[in-house]
Amino acid sequence: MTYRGTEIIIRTTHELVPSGGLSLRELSRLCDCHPSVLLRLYRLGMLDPISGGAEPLFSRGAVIRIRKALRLKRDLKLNFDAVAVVMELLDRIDELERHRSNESP
Amino acid sequence: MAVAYQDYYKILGVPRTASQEEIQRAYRKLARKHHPDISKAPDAEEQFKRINEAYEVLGDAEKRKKYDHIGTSWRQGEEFRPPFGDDGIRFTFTTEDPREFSDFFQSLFGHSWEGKFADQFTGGVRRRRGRDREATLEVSLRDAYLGTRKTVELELTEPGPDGRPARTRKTYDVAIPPGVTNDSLIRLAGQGETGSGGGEPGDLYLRVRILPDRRFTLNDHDLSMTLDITPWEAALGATVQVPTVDGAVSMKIPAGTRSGQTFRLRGKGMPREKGIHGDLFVTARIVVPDRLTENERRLFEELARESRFQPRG
Repeated sequence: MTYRGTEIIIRTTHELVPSGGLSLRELSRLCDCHPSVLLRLYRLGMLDPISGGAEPLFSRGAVIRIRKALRLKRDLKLNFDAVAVVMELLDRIDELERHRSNESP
Repeated sequence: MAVAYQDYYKILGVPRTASQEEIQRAYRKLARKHHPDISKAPDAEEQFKRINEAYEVLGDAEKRKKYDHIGTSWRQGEEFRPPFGDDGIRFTFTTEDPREFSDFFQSLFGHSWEGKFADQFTGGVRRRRGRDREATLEVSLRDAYLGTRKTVELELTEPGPDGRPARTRKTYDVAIPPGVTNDSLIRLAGQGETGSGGGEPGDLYLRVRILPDRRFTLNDHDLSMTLDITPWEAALGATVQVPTVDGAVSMKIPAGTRSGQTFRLRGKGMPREKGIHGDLFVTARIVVPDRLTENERRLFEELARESRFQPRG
């Protein structure tokens, strides 16, 4: 049995022009989590809307980051603050490694 | 059915006499190290799954007892036939979904969770959306550049013809657009786990991982590579052929190029958006022949006599 019919959520993780934003509802559906979880991430500064206004919109790249954060939280039994620290440190490692590979290809 | 024996003690790196506390310590340590979002090892996902399976068994006194009961003479991977059928003992599971564990695990504990998950399939519990599934999709750099179709085969547990959960393989035909980057996400709606009580199924998410390439190093949308050039090309300047992902291009090396000097070929990196590409960074490396012909040696010696060049101040 072969399934066809795919949807590309995020084609590239470094979009020049962000494609259409996601509502909080869509984001919570795509991240398979309750909106209250997103609210906690927002309060921790881990989730920034790309536009304010009556209904905040979020970038599609947020789906990748939130799914990753929630995987770490669940698998390593971390609390929200610890997840935030881990994510920031992983970002820093990525940046350092990129820096290093640029200097000595 | 024979299955491959799993040495859970070896996987967690603890002796058979380890206390529950030691087992938990070992597990926590390994889980942090091999978590696929932390480890960069290509087999991290596989490793992490094995560690979790081992802990699901050894971390629980009841399951550990049953596992220990089959004896100590088995070796990792050895062909194993479960000596007992359903002995009526029911286990509880800390992992929400033990269905992805090995056949060995299923042969020992499978009948226990069958009951738990059978409800989902027959709709015996409250309406709940199925959980999402995630898998990694590996693509070559070239496929990521050009876009491709990939066939993905996943093992999953679904209700069989008799209504009991059975392991099946499912094939997905996935279109990968040109210019995907690491961590790009592809969603296959409705292809996650079955919902319960008539709830809709979850989705399947495929995470793109671009495999390392022999020639090019990937950095977001930019590529970099090392280009070997001769000393005379470096000194005199030359036009050389440089490979790119979709064919070679000519590049002018200016006279006086040094080893380690980097040139940027604009637009020769990975596709980014319609008509926009990243760049290709080419780093020159001056190489000399392993062995000189007599003539080459003579010319180099002549150069050595003639040249006033003093690179060391």
